[in-house]
Amino acid sequence: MNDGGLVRLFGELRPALARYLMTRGAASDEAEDILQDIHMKLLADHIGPVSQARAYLYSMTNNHFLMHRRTAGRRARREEDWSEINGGRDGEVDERPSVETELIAREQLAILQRVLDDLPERSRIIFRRFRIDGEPQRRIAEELGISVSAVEKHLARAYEAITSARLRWDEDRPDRRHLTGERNRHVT
Amino acid sequence: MRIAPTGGISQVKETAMSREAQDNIRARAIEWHIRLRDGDDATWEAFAGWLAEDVRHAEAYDAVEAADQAIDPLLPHVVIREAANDQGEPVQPPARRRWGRGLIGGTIAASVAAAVLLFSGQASSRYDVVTAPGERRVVALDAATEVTLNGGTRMTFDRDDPRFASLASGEALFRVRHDVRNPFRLEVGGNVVEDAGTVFNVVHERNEVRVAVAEGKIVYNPGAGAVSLDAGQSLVDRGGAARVKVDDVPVAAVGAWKTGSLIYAAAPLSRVADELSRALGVRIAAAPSIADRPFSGTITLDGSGAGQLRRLSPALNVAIEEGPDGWIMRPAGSAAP
Repeated sequence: MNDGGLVRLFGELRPALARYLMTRGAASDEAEDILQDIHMKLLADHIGPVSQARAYLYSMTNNHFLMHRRTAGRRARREEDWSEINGGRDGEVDERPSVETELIAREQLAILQRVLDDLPERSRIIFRRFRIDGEPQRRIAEELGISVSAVEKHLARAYEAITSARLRWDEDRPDRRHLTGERNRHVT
Repeated sequence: MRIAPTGGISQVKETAMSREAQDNIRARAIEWHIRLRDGDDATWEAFAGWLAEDVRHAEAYDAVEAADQAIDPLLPHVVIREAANDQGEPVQPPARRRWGRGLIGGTIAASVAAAVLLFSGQASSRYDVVTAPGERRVVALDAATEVTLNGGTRMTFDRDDPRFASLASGEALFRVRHDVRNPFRLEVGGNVVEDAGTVFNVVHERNEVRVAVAEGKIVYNPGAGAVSLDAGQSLVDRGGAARVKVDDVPVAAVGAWKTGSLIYAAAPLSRVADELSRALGVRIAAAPSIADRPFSGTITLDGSGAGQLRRLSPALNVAIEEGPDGWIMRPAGSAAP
């Protein structure tokens, strides 16, 4: 496999990737851990030649950053739950979907559905093709006979609506933690 | 920022302007987020530069990305309405109202009712099947099509459409009757796996999709950028640029968990840990220092649950200890005696 190039490029790009992670809010040791993980992964997986290699490494770094954040968040939450419960719950139970998380998920689904329903039809369909079907912008543009920047405007409208809905959700429920739902203290 | 300092600006005006600046930053963040999905080298580098310009850029981007990530598990359940659907039955919105008040009423009911309607209205026939860690379930979709859910798995099926399934998270083994005119389609994390007469296994966890084929053939994301997999092949999709990686896999290893065997060829210990968690119904993780260490071999589950973990440690060449977060695999020799 010809992935020696990717590992070498990673070495060259490492300072830039570390800076990227830190602008994303990672502490320097966290950034180091993430880059170390990626380095190991690149050495272990034989990734074939990649056309946009720097983009590939940036996007891999970003994915690892998000994974890292999620794991850290879960751990923090577990510790919090631990002290709140102050009993010997074995933690495992938390991972199961409770009735409340189910309820939150449904509520969120309803909000998302409403947000999408409220979009102009063309934006909604372009959003589906891009986000759900995973089609690239250029292909959507070609098939609909519009420009790529027009496609981007439709997508921007959808993402704007989704981001605002999410921020409103968080503001309305300061004691709740994010979308995929934890306990909901309003419902008893 | 282009906020020109004009003398005697009022407080109100100032907040209005900074809000405008904020909205602008958000619009830019959204643009970046859209472009980055299929972004090339230049796009990523320009984005890194933009992020570094101003902390507010990073904050705005965080919010956009988090919102997009949060909808990931919801998207398989959403109904995308198109003109063709709407023209047929223009009566949906009033129906939603009636349901909310009439049937359930109450305070929290309104939002729940909207969701319930989602399931009982246009997508009425959809239903979820969830397994707890350590639990298994078989769902028969028709006489020749069945799906076996591994532990810790969440799936959606459709009563009216036995050719549809969606894997929200976890692992499942599919044995599918082939029908050229009506292929079986599995949705997984915004991707589609389409069968062509097949036994295949799919895992969806940590933003990663893995598909392995034991018999026949599948097409991953039909259309441009489609990847076909034959028996004895597997793929990993971690999202992002240049995403899908295809590899060989021993046919006997595909879905072997169903018969109590976990078969690995140079699999990272982190994956072994994930699969043991699902199979044994306990939480187990590999310490970061060995998470990527490759393991090759077969683990036969003996039905003793968590008790088997300790006995596995020599085979895996790790020390397995129980901690507050569940079990941890550490480098052998590092654990307390």
